[in-house]
Amino acid sequence: MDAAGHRHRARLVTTPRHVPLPLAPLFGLALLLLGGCAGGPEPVTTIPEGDFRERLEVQERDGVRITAGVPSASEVEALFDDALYDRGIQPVWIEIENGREQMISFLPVGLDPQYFPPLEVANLDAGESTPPGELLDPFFLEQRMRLVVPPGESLSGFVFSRLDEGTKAFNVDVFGEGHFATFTFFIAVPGLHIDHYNVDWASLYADDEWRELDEEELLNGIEAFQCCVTNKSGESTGDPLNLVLIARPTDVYTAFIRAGWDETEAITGSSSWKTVKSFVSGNNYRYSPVSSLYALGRPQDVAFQWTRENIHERNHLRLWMSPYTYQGVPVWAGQISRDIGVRFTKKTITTHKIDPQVDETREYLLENLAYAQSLKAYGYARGVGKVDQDAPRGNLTGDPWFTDGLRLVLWLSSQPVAIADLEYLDWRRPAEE
Amino acid sequence: MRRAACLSMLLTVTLGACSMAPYDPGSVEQADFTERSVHFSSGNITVRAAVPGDAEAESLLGIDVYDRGIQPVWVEVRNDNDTPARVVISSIDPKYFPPAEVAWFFRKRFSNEGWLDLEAHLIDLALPRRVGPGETVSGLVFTNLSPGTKSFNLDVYRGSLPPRYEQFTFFLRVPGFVPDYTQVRFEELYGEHERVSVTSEALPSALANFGCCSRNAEGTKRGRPVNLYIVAEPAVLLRTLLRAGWVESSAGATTVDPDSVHYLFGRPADGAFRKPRDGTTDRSELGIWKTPVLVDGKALWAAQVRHAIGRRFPLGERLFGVRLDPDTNEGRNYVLQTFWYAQALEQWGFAPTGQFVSEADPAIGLADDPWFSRDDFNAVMWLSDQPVPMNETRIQEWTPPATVTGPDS
Repeated sequence: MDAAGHRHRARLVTTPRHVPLPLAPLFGLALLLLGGCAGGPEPVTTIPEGDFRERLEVQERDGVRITAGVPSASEVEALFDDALYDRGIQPVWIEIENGREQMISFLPVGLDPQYFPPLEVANLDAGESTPPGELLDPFFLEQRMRLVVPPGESLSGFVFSRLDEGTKAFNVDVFGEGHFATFTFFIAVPGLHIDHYNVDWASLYADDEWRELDEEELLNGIEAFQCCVTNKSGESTGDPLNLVLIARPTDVYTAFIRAGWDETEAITGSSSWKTVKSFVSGNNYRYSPVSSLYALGRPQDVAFQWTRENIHERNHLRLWMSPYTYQGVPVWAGQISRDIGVRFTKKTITTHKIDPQVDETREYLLENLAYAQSLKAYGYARGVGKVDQDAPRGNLTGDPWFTDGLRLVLWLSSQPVAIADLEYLDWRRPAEE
Repeated sequence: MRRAACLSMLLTVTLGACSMAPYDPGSVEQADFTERSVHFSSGNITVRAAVPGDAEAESLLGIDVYDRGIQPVWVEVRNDNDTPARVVISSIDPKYFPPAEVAWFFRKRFSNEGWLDLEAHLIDLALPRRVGPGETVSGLVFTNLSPGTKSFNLDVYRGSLPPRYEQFTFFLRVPGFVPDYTQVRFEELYGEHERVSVTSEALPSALANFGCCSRNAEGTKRGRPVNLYIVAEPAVLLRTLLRAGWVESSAGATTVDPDSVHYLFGRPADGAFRKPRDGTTDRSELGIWKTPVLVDGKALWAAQVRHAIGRRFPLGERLFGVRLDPDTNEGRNYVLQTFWYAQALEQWGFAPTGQFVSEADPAIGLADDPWFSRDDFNAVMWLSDQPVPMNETRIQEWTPPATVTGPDS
């Protein structure tokens, strides 16, 4: 502590006016690797950690250039001398270079509507008896991102956002006279072992296994997917395969993250321990690994989850990339269910209780992706067949479920689609229509 | 394994012992709250909605859903088109509770059969998503509880060609909570001789007459800056606040110490609003006063935002006290953005006041809270009664002092 009562930081975060550009597009590479399709994209296995400035991403449009980076938990601790990730706070570094002739303003609410003002972060432990002088921390005031960038100038600093591990998705909104622009960033943050990093996309299918389908073949193909997920041996069936996605891998990833879904960690010693802790405490471990369910002869390729209050209340979604493409875009089989609580079982002691009305969760997903402007079109295909509420079927852990028997087909878009422009594919109609 | 299984059975039996009750609900047809319903029509779609209060919900459902933070909203949708329509349930609350989840929360109150009856009944009562041509559907959506006026959108989508999308916005009164502003007789606040009319151009000089800051009840001590001004009809102001995520409160709800109540025009705020973060602690409080000024015929409101920093106590910060963010420009800019992202801003501008308070020499507020104002601007916002896309919001330019390039630059 110095005379003014301020802690000394390991080092001051400087705000470089000139970004080391050759390093900047590293993350862009990660996206590109996931972005191939028919030939199979490459996996992302490692992300450099140590200095977040080696992982900066740059976007430029209409004379405005935005550079952004997200330090990992350990990098943040070194920069700010505080384990801010443990407190749910994630600093995002941005630089805005204004090449326009008018002043532009940055709007932090667009990055996170509940961002933390710098003096809140500086004073997380302040109480009623904290002397007033200590509240004014010049270090944090210096690090903040300012809002107004004069013409021809460049400004940089941190916005203190709520924590998202795995991939951080955020918008940088800038506004100037007659000009409004949104730059959307997806930045991988080191520290979690995300499951899809481990998928060897390139060897999922041999080149001669891929099949391009026309519309009729597509409908037949997806209606011929197996009814349900199975256990590893394939002997027991579980929840219905109630989703089909038409999407490039990159779009799967960006669409779900934009819609508020979290990636899941691969099962490791560390992730299992985090799950146990979260289970016992009821706290939120948003990236909890999901168990393997089987379809197309293998466990899911990718899983996402959407969490509410605690681990007991979350939506789970599993996806398998099929060998089909439609208009050159891969077709995926999927399964979605919602955990609504924990129940005791004889076999596994405890398990998550799923919402028996599985269509409810499926329809929720449609709305969720439509609001995230990630959907181009949707429709329905036949799936498991109708299962009545008074004669439900059971999943692998014995939970009942019932359904109208249809599969929701979701065609994801790379570009934002206004909800009013969403197309309806009139294939099969739910019974009530 | 066997021992664990026995333990789990024992636990189940113990938990189950006091819950042998069957389930015996009321019915929507007998409920009075539908008489408060509000309706709108557009594109041959008619929607009607009402919110049962705490007691009404319990008598309808037989379970105290408010106690679990769940607030049912009753909705009816009539589709007079010849194509099917779809109600977008997450438009009402993106984190709504599906009926089976609500039943699961309350399962321990009932026998196993009672719980399954509850689940079947709630699934049956839930609002269906699909409305066939010429059909009317109705039912409940289980939303997260918000005190005071319930505000939500209801979106109805028609997958016809071309697709049609109807949006309805509801602000529904719920019994049980009385926000401050409903107790204020706004018409009687100022006498005829006190009222002033100004134009937009002359507004900065009118604002200069108000002084910078709130004061204590006696007027002997300076509080914090009042640096937000809003030009709006009262209903538009309320709609904007609710749409921007501010929830109704009362000035006494968060301040324990009467000496710390902020006064302007000789009275505490006419309306108080809070901005909860992640549903737990409230970190921002907004006080709003009606001024005697009319700007181009519309009411001018003064507002002060106070953002809490320091330790968080989910059980109630009022018991332990909080510190306020000393940076008063930060809160002002935040409020402006919440209105802008709510697509409520027709126009805004920064009116210079000529008063700086530097961080090196901060002022001290009513609760010994230091504050500074790095720039000398008041934000002035003109609200629109129709949604304004963010890039169509206009900026009112007043001549700033030569030394300043912009707010908080």
